[in-house]
Amino acid sequence: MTRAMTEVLRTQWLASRWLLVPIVLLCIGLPQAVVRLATRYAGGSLDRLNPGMTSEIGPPLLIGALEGLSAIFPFLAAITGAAIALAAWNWDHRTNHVYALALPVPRSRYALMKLWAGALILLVPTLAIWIGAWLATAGVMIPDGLRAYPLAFTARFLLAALLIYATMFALAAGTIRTTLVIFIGSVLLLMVMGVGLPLLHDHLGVDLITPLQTAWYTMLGWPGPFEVFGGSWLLIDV
Amino acid sequence: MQHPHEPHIGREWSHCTRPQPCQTHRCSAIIAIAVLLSLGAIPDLSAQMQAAREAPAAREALGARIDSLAAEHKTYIREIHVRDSLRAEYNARLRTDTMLIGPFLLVSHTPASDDVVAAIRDEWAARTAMVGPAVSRLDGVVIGLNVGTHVIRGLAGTKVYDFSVWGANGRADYRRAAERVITSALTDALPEDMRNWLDGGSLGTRDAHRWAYRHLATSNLPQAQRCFAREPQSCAAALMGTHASGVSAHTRSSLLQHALDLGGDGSYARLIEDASDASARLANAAGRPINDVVLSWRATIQDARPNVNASVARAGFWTLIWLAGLALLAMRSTRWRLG
Repeated sequence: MTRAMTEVLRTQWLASRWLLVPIVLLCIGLPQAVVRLATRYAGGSLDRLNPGMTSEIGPPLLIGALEGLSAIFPFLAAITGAAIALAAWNWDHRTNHVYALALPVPRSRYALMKLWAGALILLVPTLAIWIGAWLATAGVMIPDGLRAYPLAFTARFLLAALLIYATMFALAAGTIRTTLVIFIGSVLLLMVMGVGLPLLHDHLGVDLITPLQTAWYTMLGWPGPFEVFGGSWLLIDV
Repeated sequence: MQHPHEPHIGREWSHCTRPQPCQTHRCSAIIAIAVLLSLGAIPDLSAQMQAAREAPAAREALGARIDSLAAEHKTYIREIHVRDSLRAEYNARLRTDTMLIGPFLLVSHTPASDDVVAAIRDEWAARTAMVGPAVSRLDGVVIGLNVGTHVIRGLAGTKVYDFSVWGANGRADYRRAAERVITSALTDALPEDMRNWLDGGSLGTRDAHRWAYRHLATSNLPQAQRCFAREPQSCAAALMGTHASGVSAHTRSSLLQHALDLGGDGSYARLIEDASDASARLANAAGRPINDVVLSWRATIQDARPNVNASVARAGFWTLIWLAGLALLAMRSTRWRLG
């Protein structure tokens, strides 16, 4: 790691450390809370530390409860990524990029270093959620037929947070103008597709799916950028 | 000869005892009817008299109304012609193409793409040997290709199997759609008792065993749980019972598909041959006792356990590619703006 990179990392850490405190607490606590709530909802206690309190609960109820409660984790990942991305550029914007201009590095390299620094900082909440997931699943007795997936869950969290982080970083890296260009470009693309697809169908006999479907499946379906959000976020699964 | 004062027994007005009162009643009735008729006619007469007084004005009004109606009629006829010509043009543009693929008639308003035809052909080819001589049960099955704005809903009372694609994955989606319509048609061609046993399920698709594993692993039913915990008798009892036993349609579909896979060529034809119940049909299709079928099926679905880690790995690969693209965007798309 170069000295410039170390400096950028240190600066970024200073900018985002207080923001990380509540995020880390949520990352450690939420997995445990979700598993405990799910087991309680399923009508039993799976506490490994208190075998006397253990009672049989049905896997479908547990899975159903986890499916409902686990919807919170994609949001947590998105909030984490967005917060770190915005914190990365907030200081630069506030000081009109004077510090960055004073550095003897080109802008593209500076942006890349900031991107790497943010990605490294993302490892802190990722570590926190792994600890939370491990504590949540190690403390319960998993019913037969089900397994705990703390590592896969953590990997999914990291990927989702990284994706939102990179998206927000790319938008926040520029100016309002760039953000507007990207936003208007996306809207125009959808509009052009909305007009262009019927024209293609009427004049060339080419059938394509509607723009909304295209956008939805492109974003959330394989191999879209947000596919990772659509998978299973269950800590305990078959 | 009857005496004039004798009562008129057996005749009308029999209650009259004398001729004079009867005549009086008859006259009264005739007068009453005449009065009533004249009262009813008075308004008509007065209306005719009024119309006669106003005849020239009424004629003119009626003539004007007739003229206006004629104009409206002309407009209506013109609109009818426009509508008919538009419909003719629409029909001329809206071609209806048909294509025979195996026993299926593919109907579409626009020429079917090569990928769609290839998907249906491939999916049918994968099942041709399994269906065997029972292919005649599929004759006349219509697949409606609905991938545009012109939707084929039904053709003269014939059931149309809807080939719709919602994804954006091209050939993979076409294959899934083709698999869906072909398995639906094969399911509908099953005997009624077999369809009842399936309880809304259909012939298995690619994901049937994976879904069966999930349903069995998360079942609340004691029989299903024992089946999952390696008790073959419980498997047979749970699967071969009625839908009240609670085993999901996905699980039954998976077992049916497994029996067909075991049976190989002509297994579908053997499945629909006469048999006492669903278990006998499955045994016929597989060509072995039902307990063997269930045991091997159980081993198959154990192998089909969903791999959670693999799905994360696949998502990770594409996420990294998108990250690289976003990093390039962050590096090159903007410039520093001061002030």
